[in-house]
Amino acid sequence: MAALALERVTKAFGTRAVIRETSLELAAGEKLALIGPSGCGKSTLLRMILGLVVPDSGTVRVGDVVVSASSARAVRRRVGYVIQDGGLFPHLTAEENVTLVSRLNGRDGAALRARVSELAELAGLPEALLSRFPHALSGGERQRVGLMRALMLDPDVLLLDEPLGALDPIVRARLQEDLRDAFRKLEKSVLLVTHDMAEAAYLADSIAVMRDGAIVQRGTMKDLVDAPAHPFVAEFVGAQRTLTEALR
Amino acid sequence: MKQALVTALLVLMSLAVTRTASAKDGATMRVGSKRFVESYILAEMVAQLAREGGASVEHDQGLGGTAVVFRAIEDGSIDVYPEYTGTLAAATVKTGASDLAALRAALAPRGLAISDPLGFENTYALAVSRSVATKLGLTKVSDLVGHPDLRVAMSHEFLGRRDGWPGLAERYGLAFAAPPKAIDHALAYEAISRGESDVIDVYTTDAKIGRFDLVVLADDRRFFPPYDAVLVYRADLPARVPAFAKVLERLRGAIDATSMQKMNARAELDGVPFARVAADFLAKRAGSAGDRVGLLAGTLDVVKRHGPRHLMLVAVSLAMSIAVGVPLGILAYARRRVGAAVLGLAGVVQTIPSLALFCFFIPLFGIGPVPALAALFVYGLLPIVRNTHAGLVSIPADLRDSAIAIGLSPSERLRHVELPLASRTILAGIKTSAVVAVGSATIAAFIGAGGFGEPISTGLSLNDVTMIMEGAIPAAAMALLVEGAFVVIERAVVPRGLRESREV
Repeated sequence: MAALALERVTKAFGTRAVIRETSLELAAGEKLALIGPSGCGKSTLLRMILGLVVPDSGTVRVGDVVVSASSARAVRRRVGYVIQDGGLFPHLTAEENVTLVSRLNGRDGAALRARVSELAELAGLPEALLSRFPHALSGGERQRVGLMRALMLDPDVLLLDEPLGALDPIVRARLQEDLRDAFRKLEKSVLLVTHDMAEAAYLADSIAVMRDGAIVQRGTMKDLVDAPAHPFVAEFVGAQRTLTEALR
Repeated sequence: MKQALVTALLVLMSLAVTRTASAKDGATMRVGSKRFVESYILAEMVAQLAREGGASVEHDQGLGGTAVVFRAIEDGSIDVYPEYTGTLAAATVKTGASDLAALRAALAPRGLAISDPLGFENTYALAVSRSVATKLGLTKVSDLVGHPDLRVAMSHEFLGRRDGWPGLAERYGLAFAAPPKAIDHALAYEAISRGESDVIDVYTTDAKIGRFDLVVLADDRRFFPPYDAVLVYRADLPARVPAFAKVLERLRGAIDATSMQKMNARAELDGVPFARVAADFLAKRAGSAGDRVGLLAGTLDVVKRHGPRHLMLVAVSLAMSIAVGVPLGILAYARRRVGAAVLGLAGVVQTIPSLALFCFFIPLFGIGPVPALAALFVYGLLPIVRNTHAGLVSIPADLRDSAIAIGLSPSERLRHVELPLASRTILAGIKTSAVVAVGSATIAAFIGAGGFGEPISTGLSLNDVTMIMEGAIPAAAMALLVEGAFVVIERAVVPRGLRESREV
């Protein structure tokens, strides 16, 4: 059974079609990068999975549950969500951000504390920073806390919406490494939205290229480079300048 | 902590209610007065005499105009107040008859009684300067007929009233070369003393008649209806408060027009407190003019006497505004269409002048602190509703989405994410309401609710700037203190992470 399935979903905002009939499946443990230019609908697709956007037609399934108004809350607790800059609540400390939902569900004490330590190590966050408020953390640290919060309830699926988009190259590179390590350890299904080809190739098993609300091609990086299904794919892949090219 | 606050507020509210109800239980006698000097002095006499007789007395000074005070005695909020027979006939009883027997018969079914006349009349009259009176031999209105060259200056109201100048001129056949000039009543005395006019209209007990040495012309053809000073009281009062029966006896025919004129002059022109003026008259003392306390001492006294009431008005109304305003703001945020309606309505209410708003609540709650609280409550709503709504709406979309995405229910989101994030803006709205309430509560005195507005309204009617300041200074100080208090409250209410992040 697929960890995640979108079946022929569509979405229009007013008269503008944002998602044209699109289907996408993610196997358990699979890591897929969703890539494409700004405004191609990749974030909208991600938000559909969480029930933040309701599709005009088609169905969204997480595990065996069809996402609907009534099931959305249960689904959200099985899906971890990380956005650019972490989406942390400024009035809570890093630890409070991570544990908010657990505490509201009555979990407390040593077990909770141990889980936070475990996640801090996994996300590469020094435990001393847990008592800080988000404004006192660097961009990279906030992102690590965001990852911890997403993983807190041990979800089956992890959704990341341009999680490293706002970071400088050095921090970004380090976080990419740490994310890859974490993904390997966790063996969770991951759907990563990015517009950076190198990041996509580095973090994911396969890549889906989106354009104008539809997926144009899905395959490994090698597939996309060697056999682009569409001139746009060739153009998009080719547009990512390599360092060697720049030095030439 | 929160519970203690709620309990304290409930106690305050119940105190406010019991205080208004106290006139009805018979333990206390409540004296009312209208908002002018003579009414204050007469009411003060009644209060002092009753107190001497052992009764527990409260004096609600300057409740308002005739309509407000008469309503207050009808519903039992006060037990007795000074009135004039002509006013009763024209404004309240409306029978047309103005003799005492007819008035008493008209008021009896309402449970009200009228005392015997106090001895003087306060009616319209014409006055001329002493020199003109002597030169032309003027003593009564009909003497004016032979002197068409006299210059007449009348107040706007007197010129316009059917029972004023038009009727008077017709009854006496008065005609002057120059038509009467309309002039502000307060300026008429200046005009006659500087010789710019010869005849003006006055009230027979005007403080300035003696000061400017005017001669009041007798109404020899009985044009003006009698305006005998009397006391209107609840019919059961003499039985309920035995001391009051003695007051009635003591004041029967006790005050002549000249004495009243002099008392008005002492209070109005010399600035002697009217309680003192009343006490001096009762003790048959002539009294001296200058015995005012200083501004500082007066202000401290005002703080002691009116501060607790003012604070109660602000605290209770603000608590109610918060209790209703914050949920309304949340509703406006959660339901966009309801929100537009709520914000629109609250905005409209805010455009109502505050005095008018206070008066709206009189038919519902009578006079006193209850309608004042209602008005202050309504007045305090808008800033709180608007800021609650604004604070919630301005939460960044990614944070709102994050709260949803981590699986919080709507109520959990509100309580743990949205309200804390909006807390600074909500608190700013509450602060605005609090400061506005401190100011608006000064107007509450005009409907008999007490507070710092009491010396202000009394000072206005006495044209006494010092007395106005004695009320205005503590009100301004309280507004500043409230501002300061909110700095502390913000530390307690706004989450630390938010405060620090704004400082960065």
